[in-house]
Amino acid sequence: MIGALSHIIIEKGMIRKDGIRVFGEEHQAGDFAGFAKAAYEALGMKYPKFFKMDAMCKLALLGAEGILTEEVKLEAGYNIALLFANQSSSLDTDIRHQNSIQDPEQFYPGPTIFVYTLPNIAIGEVSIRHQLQTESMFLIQEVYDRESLKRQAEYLIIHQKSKMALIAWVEYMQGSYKLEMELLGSL
Amino acid sequence: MIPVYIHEYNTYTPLGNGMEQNMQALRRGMSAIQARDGLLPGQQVMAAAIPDERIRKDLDQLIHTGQPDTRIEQLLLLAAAPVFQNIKITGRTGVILSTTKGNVQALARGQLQDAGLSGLARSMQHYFRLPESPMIVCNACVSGLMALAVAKRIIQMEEWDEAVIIAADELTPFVVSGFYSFQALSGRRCRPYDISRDGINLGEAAAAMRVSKAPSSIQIAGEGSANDANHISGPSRTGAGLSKSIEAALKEAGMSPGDIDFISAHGTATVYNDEMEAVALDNLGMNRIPMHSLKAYFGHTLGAAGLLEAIIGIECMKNDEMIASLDMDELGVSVPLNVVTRYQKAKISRFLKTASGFGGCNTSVVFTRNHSEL
Repeated sequence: MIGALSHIIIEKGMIRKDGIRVFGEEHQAGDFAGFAKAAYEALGMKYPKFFKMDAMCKLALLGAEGILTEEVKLEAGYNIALLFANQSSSLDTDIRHQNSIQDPEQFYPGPTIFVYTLPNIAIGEVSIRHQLQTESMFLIQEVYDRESLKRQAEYLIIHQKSKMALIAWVEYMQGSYKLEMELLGSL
Repeated sequence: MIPVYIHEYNTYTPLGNGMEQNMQALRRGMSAIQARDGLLPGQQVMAAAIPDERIRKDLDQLIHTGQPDTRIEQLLLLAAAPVFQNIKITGRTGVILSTTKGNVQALARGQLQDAGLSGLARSMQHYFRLPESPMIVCNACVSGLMALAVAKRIIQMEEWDEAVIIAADELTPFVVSGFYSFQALSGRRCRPYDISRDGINLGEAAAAMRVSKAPSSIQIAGEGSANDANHISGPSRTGAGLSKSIEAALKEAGMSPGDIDFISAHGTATVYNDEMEAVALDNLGMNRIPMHSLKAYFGHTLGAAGLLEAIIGIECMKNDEMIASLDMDELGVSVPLNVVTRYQKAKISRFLKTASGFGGCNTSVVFTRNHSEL
């Protein structure tokens, strides 16, 4: 039987793993950038690339950091599928890119922003951080359809395309954010 | 596993409306890449676009009242209507929308609400009277091919009996300015695998395909995706992700690399992408297999590309032909490749389509033709 091995929720300035608060204080959310930096330090990440990422990628990376431990990756033989979804795609960063080209007199598009105008870059960043050359996909959903991602993950595990799967809702839009991430595997 | 087969499909591109026009243009080596204004301030860009005039005319023939306002909806409708025309939608019919940027043009007009992909899916639900809003795959340049793989999986999971995949992306200042900032745009028609290649051309297109567990002459024999885990915007030098995705597709198909008769590769004509593909194919011992890139005809059509190019390859299988790769005068990758440079008649029974994109994603799908069914 395939089920959840662990899960992480990040919202309102808090990170909770398997229901237990691992970072953040109640009612002290603050802005996302400040929260992400503090969480990065608290998790002892030592991964300077983190600060080049857009907010959605940071959110995905913080969640994955808590779940994809060395032990888990070894157990899965590094064959962990990444199946992510969100509502706003990369719209938050799309707006930043659009602002850089809106006025032809002030035309300054840049590759460091443009590359984040695709939601699956979050999958790419997690893949690089955790060295996962695995199955992945990014879906856009109006609300999180966890069951549909879970069924896709089950397909991959049953048909031996993947050993485990990390399914996640990774939503960031104009300062509001939510991450819901689960590691699925054979129980 | 339940076998999944290819049924009706259609394409709407700068080269034509429908399969016949597109295939005729490809056989003649006609390219849609031209110098275009209005995409970058103060300079022209080599790109492939569908004239608004033509879209209007084709749309008038298709629907008389209640035409959609946005170009992306219009493109999707024009490609998908002929596919939806002859099928009865039931609760067991899935629909998947593949796009990278959808109606991102709305941002230029300050209409944030209209730029969301869910809205575009809802609009397709409305036009095709679907019981549910289509599922949306948004996975960079592999989206169209990945959507096809996802449709196959969901049919094999016995949630759907059939699925329609609709894919489109539009040529916009948003995307052109981004690739311009990467210095990835070629100033001439792009030259996949050629020694003097220096970048991509962008394009726009829509494609649609129905797949089903009901048998036909073409089967999806295997598919797989794998990430490079190397760089978010640069192709891996080793081609590891692409190799892994091809191996996964072959394994599922029960084939070895030498069984493939023809490859439709990604071939964007950037220095690094084409080299990465060459290395991956060489590592698998597949570099002598005839292959092409279609980017010099249509440009890079992003979320439509994987499906559009798979459809052209499937047409080639059915018609015993190989469409030439344009502008490959002298091979410019580090290993030998068998790039088809002239249109030719050839029997193709096993066809591999690959796609690679930003975020390090790679997807491969193997199609087989059953000659006895014909």
